[in-house]
Amino acid sequence: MVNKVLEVIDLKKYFPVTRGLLDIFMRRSKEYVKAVDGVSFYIERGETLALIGESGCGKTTTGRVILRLEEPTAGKIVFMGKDITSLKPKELRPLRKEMQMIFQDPYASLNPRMRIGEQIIHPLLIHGLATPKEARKMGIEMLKRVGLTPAHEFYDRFPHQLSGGQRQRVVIARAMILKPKFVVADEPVSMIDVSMRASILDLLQGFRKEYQLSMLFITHDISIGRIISDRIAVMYLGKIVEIGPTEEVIKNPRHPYTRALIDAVPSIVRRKRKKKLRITGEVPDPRNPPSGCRFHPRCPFATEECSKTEPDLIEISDNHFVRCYHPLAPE
Amino acid sequence: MIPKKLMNMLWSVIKTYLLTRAPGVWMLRVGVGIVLFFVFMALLAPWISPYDPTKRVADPFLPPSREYPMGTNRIGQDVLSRIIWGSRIVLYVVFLATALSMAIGIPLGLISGYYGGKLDRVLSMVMDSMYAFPALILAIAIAAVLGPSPSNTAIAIAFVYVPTYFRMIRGQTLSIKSSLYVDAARALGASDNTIMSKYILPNLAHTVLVVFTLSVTDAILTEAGLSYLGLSVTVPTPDWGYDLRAGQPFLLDGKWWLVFFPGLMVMLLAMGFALIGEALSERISLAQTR
Amino acid sequence: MVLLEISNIKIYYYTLTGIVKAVDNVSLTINENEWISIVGESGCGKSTLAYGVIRLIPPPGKVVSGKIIFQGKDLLSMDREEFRKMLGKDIGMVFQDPMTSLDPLRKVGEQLAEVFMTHLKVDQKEALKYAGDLLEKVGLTRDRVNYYPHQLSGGQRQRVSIAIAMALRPKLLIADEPTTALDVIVQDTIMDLIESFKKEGTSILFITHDLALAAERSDRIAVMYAGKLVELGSVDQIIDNPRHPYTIGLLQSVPDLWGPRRIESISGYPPDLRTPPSGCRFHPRCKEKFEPCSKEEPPLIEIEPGHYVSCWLYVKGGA
Repeated sequence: MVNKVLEVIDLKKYFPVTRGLLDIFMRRSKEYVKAVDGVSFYIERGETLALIGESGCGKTTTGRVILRLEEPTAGKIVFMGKDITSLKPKELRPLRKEMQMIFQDPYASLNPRMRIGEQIIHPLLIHGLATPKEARKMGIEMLKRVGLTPAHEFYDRFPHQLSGGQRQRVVIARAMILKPKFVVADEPVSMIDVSMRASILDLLQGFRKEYQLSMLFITHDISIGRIISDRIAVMYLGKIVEIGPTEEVIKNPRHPYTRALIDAVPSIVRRKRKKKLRITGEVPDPRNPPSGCRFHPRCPFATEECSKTEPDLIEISDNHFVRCYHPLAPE
Repeated sequence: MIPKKLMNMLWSVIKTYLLTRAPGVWMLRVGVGIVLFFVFMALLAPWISPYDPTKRVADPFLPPSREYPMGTNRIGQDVLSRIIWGSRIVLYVVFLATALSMAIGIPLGLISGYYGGKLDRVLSMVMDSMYAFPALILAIAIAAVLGPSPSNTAIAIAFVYVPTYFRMIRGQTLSIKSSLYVDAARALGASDNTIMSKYILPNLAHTVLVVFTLSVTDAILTEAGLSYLGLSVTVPTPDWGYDLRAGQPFLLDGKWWLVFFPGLMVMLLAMGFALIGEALSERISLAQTR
Repeated sequence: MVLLEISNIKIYYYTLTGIVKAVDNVSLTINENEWISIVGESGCGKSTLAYGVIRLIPPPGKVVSGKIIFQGKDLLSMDREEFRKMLGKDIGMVFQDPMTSLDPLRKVGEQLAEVFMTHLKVDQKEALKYAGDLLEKVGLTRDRVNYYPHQLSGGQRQRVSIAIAMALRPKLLIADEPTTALDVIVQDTIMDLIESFKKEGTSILFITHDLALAAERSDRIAVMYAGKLVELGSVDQIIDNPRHPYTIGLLQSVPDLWGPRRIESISGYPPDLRTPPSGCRFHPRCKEKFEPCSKEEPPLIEIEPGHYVSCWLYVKGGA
């Protein structure tokens, strides 16, 4: 019985930087944006892993590569015990029933010319899992399930007739109708109004319980990630710098970057606190990541060792890993 | 008896047509009105044409009068009748040409844009070289080779417009292909065919419509030009462009009606389609900015 | 000392499909050396209000009625020239997207220098020197004077926008979601920068949808919903003693790293401002609604010094 629904091993995705004629002429070497540069993790049945990071860290690309929406440059993707890294599209198709994606932009992820109901049942018809009549029934049920009632009315509407929150529910319905085993949710609530986020997250949690769903929850908002996840992985410039149980990582961040991230998040409860760790500068150009530990130019605790070789992920406490030569002490 | 549902549909179409207060709607109405006017003119020609356009019915060069509202031409044919019957040729050629260029240009553009790669590169090169040719010269060359006849004219014009459709559709396909909802469809496991037919094609519809109305306008003028040069119809078939040419030498003689009326018709019909194209493109750009 | 007084402002948009009552009878005062944040979700009118103050409401919108008095002068009836002069000198504005306020075709230093040249009548050489000084003040290196906007990162561009807005040390800085497009660590540094200006005497009118962000830095918070001001008070009053059901709902929907691992949603959807609900605009979504809520709009009541609520629950003696 496979408990690891998904395992990603040393995954890499490099994007070649398009070269102009002059570059080719002058024989400049090819440059790559190393969006994902050796990422490894696993997700168990029924577990949610939050992938946290700022823009450009590679988290969205990681999600897309796992679902083979982009081809990996190197590494392995193991889904339900099967190596899917180099499967051809034909072989991949039946597996698509089991892994789905929820996107950030509810406006852009729905076909503007297809009715809501049609879009929700589309996966069923693509995979031949139901007749059109059966599918329609299931579509109506699903609409009720995600709270879009009266279901019959919503079935025939077009996306532009719905609000952002409603559209996101449609996207979730479409992803869940196949009862997948694994879902990649890429910033699913970032574009939703604050007061409605909880209901979308509740909806996801509901499906998670019902289907024993595993989820990779990608977000830049660590506060949201904390609510929904069992474990957290923090990414920086294409690599995971810390990964561990959610409450543990938040209470005792061991990587300076994680600490800085947590300190920078506004908090109502601790609004009067003095911020502990402030870092300067901005995320460097992913075409030329710093030598050694990628974070070292901005790290207040960096030593010479840090600029020479890149540290490995080491287990610093129970199931809690950090990639740092000088991890912070626990609180 | 006409079923009730159909009546309701018809009624709502008419209501929308007459009562919508959207921007550009007057342009649309005028444009559609003009085009419909000519379509009916063409359809009802046998009944509304006062005289046989190929027969001499009076003295030549008679100015417009009550009996001959648009006067008579060099042969003594009634200009009005020739105008009415001429609309048939124009509309036939233009619609046939546009249909042909759409039938070839759209699928090629879609496939080229979707699959990319070598196929795309080869097709694009071919289309670009066709596109680079001055349209009129290309049309003349083809028509000269095939021989003068309305159908051949249509083929020549179609040839000229295929690259335009190809380009527009290919461009739109490329842009839609990278949109999020197509990614979502791929993540669901949709096949290429499904994506092309259900996701890309329906979203191309409005672009196609706009290109259609614009290319139709151009086609009318090209047809007029070709028949002006004698490459379209054969005597004595009535055709606006042909009549324009035939009447031209007599313009300085003061026989203005030989040139004025055919020219006016060409202009009106072209304007009708242009208005529709304008109105639709305005609508579409509004819809995009939601 | 009162710096800006907004009284009974109404800003409506006259669209083809109806009149959008974007800001409907809002009153607010901003004092000297004070940081006040207007918090609300999309469509509540907070940005519209800010744009109204600087007379940048695009057609088909217009300020229908109300007064905006800045340092004793009526902004809305002021002559255009006078207003334009005042805008650079006494009021500065920073927008969400720094690319819209920066000219992509001109170097950053030039744009900054232009402010000095226009208002202080100095020559370009001196203005560029001031520009360099100012860039250093906002945390950039002097050499950035020669950079184009696209050569800078998002955070750096926003610093430049703030520099331009603060160049002449205005008494009021209006910032409309200045950090929304930025990562959280950069956001923190930008907020520090704005706070440093406040410490030097500038008042800040801060527009945001992020209640936690507002709570960390502001002196006072105004909560807006559907074009109306529903609650106003000091940060402590709003956070520790919220009264309006919307404020309470909003507080419960904000996740906090040091709070419980649970957030709540407010049921329902924000209303269409062309046909807002009768009476209190929040009533269709309100758990506490009772008889007067759907009939009449509640007045703004002061429930403790400096703390105002617009809700029938707090109107003594009933409707």
